[in-house]
Parts: sequence; C-alpha cells; structure tokens
Amino acid sequence: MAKYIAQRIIYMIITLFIIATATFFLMKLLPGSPFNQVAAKLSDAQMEILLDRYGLNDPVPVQYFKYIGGLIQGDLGVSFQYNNRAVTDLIMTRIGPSAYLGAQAMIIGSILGIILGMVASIRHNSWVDYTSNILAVIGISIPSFVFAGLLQYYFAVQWRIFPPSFWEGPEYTVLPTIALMIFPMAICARFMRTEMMEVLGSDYIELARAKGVSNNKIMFKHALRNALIPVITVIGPMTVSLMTGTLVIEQIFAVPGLGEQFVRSINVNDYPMIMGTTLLFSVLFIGVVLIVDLLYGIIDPRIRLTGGKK
Amino acid sequence: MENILEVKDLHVTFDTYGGKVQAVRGVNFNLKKGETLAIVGESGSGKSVTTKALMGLIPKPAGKIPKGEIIFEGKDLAKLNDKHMQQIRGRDISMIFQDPMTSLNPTMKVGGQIMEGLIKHQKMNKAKAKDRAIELLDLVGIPNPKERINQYPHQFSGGMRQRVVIAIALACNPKILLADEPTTALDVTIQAQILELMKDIQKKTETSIVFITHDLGVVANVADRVAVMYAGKIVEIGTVDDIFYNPKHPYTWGLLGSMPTVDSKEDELIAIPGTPPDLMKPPKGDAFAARNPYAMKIDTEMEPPLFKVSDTHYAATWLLHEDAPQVEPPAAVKRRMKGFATADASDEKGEES
Amino acid sequence: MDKEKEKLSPEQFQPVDLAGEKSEELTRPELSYWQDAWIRLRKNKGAIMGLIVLVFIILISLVGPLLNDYEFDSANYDAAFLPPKVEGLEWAGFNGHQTFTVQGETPEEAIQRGLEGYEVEEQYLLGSEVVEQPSEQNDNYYSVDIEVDIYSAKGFEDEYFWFGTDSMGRDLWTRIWKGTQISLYIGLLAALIDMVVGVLYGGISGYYGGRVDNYMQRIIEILSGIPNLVVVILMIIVLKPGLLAITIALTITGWIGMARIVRGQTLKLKNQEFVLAAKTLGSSDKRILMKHLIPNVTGMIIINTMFTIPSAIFFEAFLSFIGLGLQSPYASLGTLIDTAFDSYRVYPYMLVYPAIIISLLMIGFNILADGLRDALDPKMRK
Repeated sequence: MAKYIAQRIIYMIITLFIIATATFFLMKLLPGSPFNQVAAKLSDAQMEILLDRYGLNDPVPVQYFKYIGGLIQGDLGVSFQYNNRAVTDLIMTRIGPSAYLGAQAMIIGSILGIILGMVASIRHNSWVDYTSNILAVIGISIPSFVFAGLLQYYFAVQWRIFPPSFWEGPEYTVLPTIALMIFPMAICARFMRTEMMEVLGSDYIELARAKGVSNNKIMFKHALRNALIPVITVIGPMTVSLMTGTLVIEQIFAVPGLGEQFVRSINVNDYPMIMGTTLLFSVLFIGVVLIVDLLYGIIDPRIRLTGGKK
Repeated sequence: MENILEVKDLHVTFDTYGGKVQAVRGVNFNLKKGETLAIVGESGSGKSVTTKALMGLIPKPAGKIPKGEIIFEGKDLAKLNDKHMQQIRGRDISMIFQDPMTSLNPTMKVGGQIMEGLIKHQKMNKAKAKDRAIELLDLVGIPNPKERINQYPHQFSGGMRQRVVIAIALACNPKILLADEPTTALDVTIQAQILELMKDIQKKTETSIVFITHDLGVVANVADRVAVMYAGKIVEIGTVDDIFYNPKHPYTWGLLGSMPTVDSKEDELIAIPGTPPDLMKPPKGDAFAARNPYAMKIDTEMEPPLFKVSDTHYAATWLLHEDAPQVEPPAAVKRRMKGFATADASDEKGEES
Repeated sequence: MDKEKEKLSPEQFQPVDLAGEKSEELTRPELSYWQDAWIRLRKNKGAIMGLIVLVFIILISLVGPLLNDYEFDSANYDAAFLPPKVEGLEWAGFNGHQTFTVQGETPEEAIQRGLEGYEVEEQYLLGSEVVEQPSEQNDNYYSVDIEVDIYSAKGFEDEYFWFGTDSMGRDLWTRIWKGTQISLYIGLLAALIDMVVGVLYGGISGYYGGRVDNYMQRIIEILSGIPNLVVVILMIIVLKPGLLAITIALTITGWIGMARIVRGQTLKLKNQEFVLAAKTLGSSDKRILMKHLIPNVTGMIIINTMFTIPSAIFFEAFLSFIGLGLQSPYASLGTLIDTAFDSYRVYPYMLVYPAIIISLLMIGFNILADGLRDALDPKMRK
C-alpha cells in the first residue's frame, strides 16, 4: 500500500512538472510582451525598466529556472494586472468564495443526487424513476451558464426572491450554488441508480432476503454501502465540472472568486496569474483523483487487504 | 412419515416485455420430515422458480403465484404477506444458493452475515450470536473459526465460502433447507466435500432438504426421492430406486441417457433432440411431445395425467395408458440402469468396509 | 382419470413423428447484432425523440439561413435591437413590440424619459403599465413598463427579423442557424478526431501489448492527470481563438477516453477463442485487427463518440463564455449566448433562442447516446 501511494505521488509530481514546464514555454511562445496594452503610452526606456523589473530581459532558460525555483518555494510570480501583487497572494484572497461555493454545491448536490438515485432504483419504473431520469438528463445536458441565466432571470430579476449578484451574505450564495450543483446532482443520481439496481439484483441481496432480513435493513445495511462505494469515483469528474462551473457562474453572479479572477486574467493576458491558477487547478484535480483512489481502497474491504488496486 | 410441506397445484408466472411466461404450471409434491427430495431438470424447467416460490422470493411485481397452495405447518405460504414470510425465511425454511462467489455481501464481515439471522429470529444479543456463529463455522468445517469470523468473504476460497453460506442457512436450525444447485459452481473435489457435509448435517439435525440439481450423479448420492421437472411441471416422481432402475417417462430416459458415468463401458451419450418449449406459449397437450421419439397422437391433444406406477412412483406420460403401445427404454439407457445397480452395490460395499 | 379413459380411442395412441417440424418453430429468428440493436433502439422512445429533435435542428440549421435575405455578417446599426417579428405569428408574441422598464417620479415622467432615452416618438407608444409603486427601496420612483412598436419607430415597418436583431442590427435568425452549424461542425469534427486518434492509439497499445502497451499507458497516465480545462484554455490562449484552434484544443486530451476503451476491449477480445483461432489459422495481424477486433469494438466506439459530440459542443460554448470563443462576425451558439448575456434583462429574446437550441442539442445527443449504449451494449443482449 505504501509503495502504491509513493508511486502515485511520484506520478503526480512528474505530471505537475510537465504541466508547469509546458505552461511556461507556451506563454513564452506568445508574441509581444504582456505590456502591449500600455506599450503605446510608455517610452522605450520606461519599457526597459518594466521588463527588467519582471525579469523578462533574461534569457529564456534563466527565466525558466527562476520560475521552477520559485514554484518549489510556493512562489508563483507577480501579477501583471495588479501592480506588483504576488500571484499566490491574489489567489489566497480569491479562493475563499470559490471554495465555499464549490464545497456547498458538491455536498448538497451529491447528497440530493444519491437520494434521488436511490429512490429511483427502489421505485424502479415508477413515475419517481422517470422523473429522476429526466432530471438527470436535463442536469447533465443543459450548460450551467444557461441554467444560471434562467435562475438569475426568474428568481432574482422577475420574482426578486434572491439577490441577482455579488457576495454579501449567505442568501447571495443560493443561486450560484444551485446553478453549480445541478451537474453533480445529476451525475450522482444516475450513477447511484445504476449501482443500486445492480446491487439489488445481486445474489447476496437475495441471500439476505432468504435470511428473513427486513426490507429496510436490506436497503440500508446491505445495499446502500455496496452501491455507495463506486459512487466515490464520480468525485473526480465532479471536481472538474465544479472548476469549469466556477469560471462561468462566478462571472454571471459577480462572485469575487478565483474563477472570475481567472477569466479576467485571460482577457487581459495576465500570464503569471493564468499560469498560477492553471497550476492550482491541476494540483487540485490530481490531488482529488489520488484521494479518491486511496479512499476507495479504505472503504472497499476487497481492495484494502489485498493492497493497492491496479 | 409425516409431511412437513405440501405443494398443491403451484403456478408461477412472470410478466415480461415479450408477454407472460408460465414458469411453473401446476406442481404437486410433498416433503417428508428428514428426507431429501431432489428436483432435477434442464435449466428453465422451473425448478429454481419452484424453490423461490417456497421461500416467497418470487420477484414482485413481475412474478406472481396465480394459483396453488404451499402448506407449511397449517399455513399457506403462497398467501402470506412479506412481513410474515420474513418470520419464516431463515428460521423455518432457509436456502443455500448456487454461486458462493456472489452470494455473500462483499463489504460485510462473515460473522456479521451469520449473526444477522440469529439476532433477528432467535432474539440473541450480539455476544451470544457471535458464539453461535463460531460454533456454526466449526460445524461446517472451517478451521480457526474465531479468527475467520472477522474476515471478509474475499478472504475465503470458493469451497469455504459455500460452507459459510451453509452455515448461514443452518443458523436457526431450519426445518426445511432448500439447496439450489449448491455444488454446481465448485470444483469436483470440493463438490464431494460439500455433499458429505450436507449429508452429515442432515443426520445431526434431521432437516428436510429440497435439493435442486441437474446432475443425476449428485442425485444418486444424496436423495431419498426424486422429482423430474420439465417445462414447469413434474413429469415423474419417485424414490431414487424408482427413477434410476425403473424410469417410465421418456424424458427421464433422455436424462439418464445423456448422463456420463465413470464406469460405463460404452462412450455413447444420448442427447435429447430439440430445445424446451417457449413457456410464453406452452404447447397444447404434452409439452415434451415435440422432442419425444415415442410421441403419440394424443400427446398433441391432451395433457397426460400422473399415472400411478407404484405407491411411491408416478409419471405423467400417455405411454402408461393401457391403450398405449408397449415401449422399452433405449438400449443404452437400459444398460445404464444396470450400471447404476452395480455401481451402487459396490458403493455400499465400500462404505461398509 | 377414469372418466378421461372412456373418452379416449385407441387410434389416439398411434405413434406420430413430431421431431423436426415442431422444435424448429420454437427457436427465435436469428438477428444480426445491428438488426437487434436497431430494434432495441426503436423501442426506446426517448432516444427516438432525441434523434428526431437532432435531425430537425440539423435540417433547419442548414436550410434556415437560406430562408430570408439577410446575411449573418451584414451590420446595420439603425436596425439594432429589434425584437422578433414574424408575419402571421403576431398573435403569438412575434409582433416586433419591445417592452422597456423605465423609472420616474411620476408615471408620466417615466414614460417621457423612456421614450426620449430609447429615441422613440410618442405615436409609437402602444401601452404602459405601472409595475412598481414608489417605496424606500427604489428611491421613491415609479417603475413603468412601456410597450413600443420599435420596428415602426426605427422605420423598419416592412422588415421581418424572425428572431430579432443584435446590437449591430444583424439578423439573429441567420446568425443563430449559422452558429448552430458551427457548433455542430466543431462537435462532429472534434468527435471524429478523438475517434481516429483514440482508436489507433488504443488499438495499437492493446493489440501489441507488452512493452509497447506499457510505455503507451504511462504516457496516457500522465496526460490524463492534466485537467482538460487547463489544456484547452492554454491551447486557445496560444493558438488564438478560431474554428480550427478550438477544435484542436478540444481534441488534445479528448482522445484519451476513447483510447482507454478501445485498449480495454482489444485486450479482452485478443485472448478470446475466435481471435486465437484466426491466429492459429495464420491470419496476419492487420487482418485480425480489421476483421475481428474492429467490428467487435465498433459498438463501444459509437457509444463513446456519441457522448463526445455534446461535450465538445458544450466546451466550445463554455470557451466562448469566458471570452475565448470565435471572433466576430463569426458566431457559434456559445458566442451568441455570451453576447446576449450582457443585455438579456432588456432584450431576453437574444438569449432565449440560442439557449433553447443548445439545450435541445445537448439533450438530444445525450439521450440518443444513452439509447445507443443500451441498444449496443452486448451485455444487455439476451
């Protein structure tokens, strides 16, 4: 097991290193300097000073080693768009609302999804099942920004139940959270239904029935646990969808989060900020995948004791 | 001996997308106290469905028992609701499943799976149930039961798992044990061990066993009586001797003819031609007629009743009617019948010495 | 039994030969894999509905732009922000009337300010309605909805923009269907590239196995560790948004899923008897790959491709939404939605149509793919 974890962590570091390197050189490939927008207003001498200050006059390899060296110490460089502010610093001030929204959407969404999928599988082929299937297809299909637009238009503009935008209290989180949680909910409901159906049709459930175990106990003691274990695997795709979602939803609801900041950085070519956020997303994603794999091993006894699943 | 279970005119149907499948079409039999009744037949003949009906495990709402009675201790199990069936399942009637690799819950410790029934039916507390579970594991021949009880199913081999399944079935000293092909999924050597174990346990506990199988070799080994099922009906029922030495139904002849025996000299096996009928539209008359080389005109017109051969032996074939031509079983089956006789004799000698 | 005996005549006990004729009837007709799948797909109402919706949208997207005389890129600032108007459908709301919400200290003042602000002469005012009384919350102003005949006000009485116009006066009907074409094109092309690359990579990796497979899998392992969100965004930033750039960016990591499926299937099939049998009979590698493996994994490939299309369409729209989409005058459903978002509270029609179309496309592809999965998955075959 320890060997397996070590191997996975090495892979993780290699992947991150590749991403950092690729990002760096991709950014260097871009024509012009990041100061193109202000270039017209600056004299050549001023421009030189600027480039010097950001170390952009060094040869590319030197810049590269400086960058990687900084990375190891947790230094992601300095943002171009905000005067001299460290990227790490900017990320830290922005990550709060995003993390809050993401966690809230993930937790509520997956719990609702699991319940929905479970009810659908128990009442298989009933109206509950059909409704939950339709909800799941809609949730997976309709883009989050369309959904967010709908929510904002009706709940905020038309009916004025919730505030349409900004970030000033719990009621401000309601609409973005709903917009963000639809996908996790749909994917959980679907997965849970399939897993539950499979488990309920299995021999060991029939054996439990043959023992005279009551239906409730069969559901909660035997079926639920076995069906829930594989559901953990959707946490990976769920994280990706949340990261994608924050980019658009924070923009729509004017949430001062990392996603909104990232979109802004893309639009003004703030390369250090883009690279920093990109790396952070990668670390998050890889970390979540690793944690899910380890968690799976802990929860499923078949894997725990045979040590490491390939 | 008194009957512990009486099955009368049992019918089971399943609603499927294609239509209604008549899986069991009027099955009658009695189970006596302490005996082993084997039910044999091809897959799809309704033998497993019959046992599921006895357990009240016909999947609803697709499956139904439209007609028939299952009388156990004065109650008709076919009409009991699920709550009452839960009281009987596992306590009075329990079941051993076919595939030990899939019939244990992979995320629950073996001990917990055995204890569940004890806690439910015998109102034992956890500690007591645990002691009993250890006892049971010991009874079914699992070494180090005290440690094994805290392990998960995947830590057991197939044969060991089947022993656990048997321990679960035996937990509450059931009056009836339904064994649905309990050895089919196991290696031959393990098969013999499990069969010995079951015989042994039956001697100790005097449980009645219904043994489902398609393996006639196993039948000869364990059963007192045999019921042969075809297309949802019992076509011949009798003692082991009746069925093996004096079979009357051409389907039974076919089964015996298609069974390989270790010591038979000739290597010819007789296959039964054709396939079983579609039970969505059961044919008129005798369901076996289409595959029966001795078919008569009446077989296509009318279902044969159960003709009495002796007090213990009945068969549903028009060949037993007084107007029917006298036919002999195929020569190969006859030779085989003799073969069984000698094999059995040597078997018994072996046991005595 | 005795009663029955009397009814029976000895003739009924004559042997008959039934073998052969009857047992043949009992077997079901043999169906090929594809026939069987088609029958099952046809029974799936959702999938068929999805298919119909898709065919419908694809057809209109091709025919739609030809149905009127407007070009997707001909700007006319005088005709900006005209709402939908269709001849004969005025009763259904396609009447070209625009509603503005305006504020003022009195209702009259509000209307006056509104007309001035939107440059509409009073004669084109069709009606007004006070929607909010003054209160603390709105600084003691009245809110009034005014409905105006904006087509006449701007001098376009005889024009019919079926889906209205955008901020540059371009016909949205033409732009939306052109945009649908582009979204579909990106989705299909990305799915096709994913399929080709994925099948080749996965097929080679699985078929040759051993060390080749080992190396190829390590590469996949590292690539799949990179979230595709990051890859796509970086690629677009470098390549500059454009039709091809977006498609390429979508396929850079998109093929991995397909490669994994194909490899898994190949590994599974490789050791099955019929392939071993073909090998023993001396078939060449290429022949085995083409004749045996590909047909057997086709089902899985189709299913996976069908799921790739909607996800590519979504991703393109997503990129547009964060400002990395196609550049004007070209439009996709995503860029149309993105621009519409700026002013959808006043001009909701700009958002409604592309949003409905993209949602229908996504739902259509997803339920069709679900249906295909159920129909093609051999596990389901009985």
